[in-house]
Amino acid sequence: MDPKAYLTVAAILFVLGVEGFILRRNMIIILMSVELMLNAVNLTLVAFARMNLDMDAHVVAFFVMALAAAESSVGLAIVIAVFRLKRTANVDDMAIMKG
Amino acid sequence: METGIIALIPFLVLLGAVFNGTIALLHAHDEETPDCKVTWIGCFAPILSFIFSCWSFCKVKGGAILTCYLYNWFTAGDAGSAVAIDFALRVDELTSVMLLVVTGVGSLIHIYSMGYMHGDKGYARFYAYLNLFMFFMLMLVMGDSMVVLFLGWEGVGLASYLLISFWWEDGYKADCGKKAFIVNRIGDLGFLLGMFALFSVFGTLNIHGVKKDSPSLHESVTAQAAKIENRDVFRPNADPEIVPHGVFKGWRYANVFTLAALLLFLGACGKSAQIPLFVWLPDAMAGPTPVSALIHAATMVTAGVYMVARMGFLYSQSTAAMAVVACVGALTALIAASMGLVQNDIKKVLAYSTVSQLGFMFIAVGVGAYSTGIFHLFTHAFFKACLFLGAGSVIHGMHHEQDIRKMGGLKEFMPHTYWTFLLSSIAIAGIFPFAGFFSKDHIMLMAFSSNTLGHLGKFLWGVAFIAAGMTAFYMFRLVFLTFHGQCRAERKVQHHIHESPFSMVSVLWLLAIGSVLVGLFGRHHGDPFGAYVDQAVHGHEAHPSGSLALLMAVASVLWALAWILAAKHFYLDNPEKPKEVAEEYDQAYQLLNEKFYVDTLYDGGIVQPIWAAAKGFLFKIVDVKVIDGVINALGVFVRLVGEILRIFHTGAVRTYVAFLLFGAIVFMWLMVS
Repeated sequence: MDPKAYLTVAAILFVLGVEGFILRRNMIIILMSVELMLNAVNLTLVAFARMNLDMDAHVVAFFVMALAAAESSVGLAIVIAVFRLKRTANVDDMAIMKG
Repeated sequence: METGIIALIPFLVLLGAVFNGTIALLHAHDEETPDCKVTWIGCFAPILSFIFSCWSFCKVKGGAILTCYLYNWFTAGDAGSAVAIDFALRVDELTSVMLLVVTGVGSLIHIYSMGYMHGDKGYARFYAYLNLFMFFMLMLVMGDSMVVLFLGWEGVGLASYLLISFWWEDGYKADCGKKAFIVNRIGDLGFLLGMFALFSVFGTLNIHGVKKDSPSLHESVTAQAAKIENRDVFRPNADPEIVPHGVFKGWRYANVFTLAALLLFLGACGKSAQIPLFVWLPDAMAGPTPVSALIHAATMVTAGVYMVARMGFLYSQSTAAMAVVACVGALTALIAASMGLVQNDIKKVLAYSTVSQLGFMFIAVGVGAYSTGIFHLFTHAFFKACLFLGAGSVIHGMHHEQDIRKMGGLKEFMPHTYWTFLLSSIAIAGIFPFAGFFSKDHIMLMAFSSNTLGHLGKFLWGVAFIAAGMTAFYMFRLVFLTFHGQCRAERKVQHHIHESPFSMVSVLWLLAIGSVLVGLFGRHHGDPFGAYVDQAVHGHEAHPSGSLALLMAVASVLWALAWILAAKHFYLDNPEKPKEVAEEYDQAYQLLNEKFYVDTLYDGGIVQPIWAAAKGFLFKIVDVKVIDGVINALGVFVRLVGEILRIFHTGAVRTYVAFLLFGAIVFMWLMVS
């Protein structure tokens, strides 16, 4: 299979993730978009590994997955904490640090 | 002869100062201060120094010159033309005499202070300062380099300030200390400029040089002077020697000598209270009397005379400078004596007397008779210290009354004080065979028969003669008003008048006996003093004929006796006469009383404008508006920057996300390109 197809898919996924990160209002959707970005990156890494027959990228992909897991747990914990305070998951209502 | 023992002379006293200073600091807030310990340390240090000074005197008399090279203070300049300023001490004949005076009279005054300052809260501090003063004075007279001399010069000024404003809780006394220090500083400017001139032309500041082959001013100046064929500074091209490089490039050496000598003399005017910088000395009487005796009579104020004698090799090269020195001395002698005629504070009379006698010393060194000037310094130390300490005894006995109009008849109450004061007064008036006669008469003789100054010398003799008459008059005015006649003090004060304790009276007697006997070292007995000191300073002494000397001696004594009788007439026999004369010549009296309006002149012409400039301009504008303005502007600037940065802190997460993305894109773009 042409590795370029994988790269294209990964690129599209990444852009979609960025869109969700910037333009969505709900905190959880934003976190999901971050996951999407990370997965896109993983796909890119694996595609390049296949292209260059290099094992290092596979290892990096594993690192990224572990990192994504940790980061999403922490992120969800923060969202829960803020929700308990503000009773809303709308990111626009969380301008506590204004000024 | 290189010996470390002479280093002990100043450093023992410094140690005493440090000890007493520590005691003073440690017990600053206590009720009980360990006065006994302080006295032992404070008095023993100068006494030990005196013993070592005697030892060095004996050694120097035997022909040696004692030196002590301590260390290389600093070396300035690049490798090729480096100049080493050494911290070295050198005792020759002149220095050994000064050492004896400073440590000897100093020790006596330290002992006197035991009784005078008894019970004072700052007892330890007093002894610390007094020892510190002695250290600096010893540095001054023993220093071989002009830099070490200047260290001592400045240090004695500092000690003088500390001691004059010893009772600084009184604002007036603190101001007197400030005045002394500031006026001294003006003189120091001249001294510094003179040092710079000498350094610039000769490349060294050692006076005689302690180590072998080290450059010295003495050598350089005498060598250069020997090349000058014609000393007439008004004829151009007469001096073939021109300074080759430096600031004074193109100058003739003769003119450099004159300039340096005059500048150094300006320093001496400040330190030794000559016109125009004498105004601090009468106000310096605000300090405790032992201070007045030690610093403003026997030692510090004589530093100027010492300096001129020490740099005699320089002054001898410049007739103009010598004339200036002698004229200023004569003028000061006359004017100060005239001001002393009308003072009513016992210490102020003595202060003006000191200024006047210093004028005499400068007449002597001005005509080239350096050893004569130093001899007068020597005798003056004795009788002036005795007079001041006697005045202190009177003040002590009268419970701090200093106005002689409120005294009188004290000779019954305080016989020891009276007799010592009288002996010293006879000495200062210049009556044969007391010490003052020998020294003062010698000065007048030298001035009259000076070869260097010719007719000017005779004029100066005239001025000095009048001043000597006035000296006799005001001294005996003081004696008669204070000790004779009816006691004008109030009844209740009279009951408490008492003679001073043994520690004070013994010192008075020692000094009085000194002022009677030390004349024996003078001219009329073979002049051992003069011959001894001349080996160091090589003065240009005239050699007047014996008959002239005898005539002058007789004239001086008769003149002084006449004025003493005049004083007796005015103040003993007809007590109302002085007031009548004052009213009749009231303008002249006012002039003298207001000290020729010199203080008023300085105040109006110099002090007030400086105050106005400081308050009106420097404070209100420079300090408040400019300096504070800059600091405040800095603060305002920081706040403005903060205000700008605040715009970015919206608190909205989405804005932050946008910035994050923007930054990431820029970063990636930079990585790629």
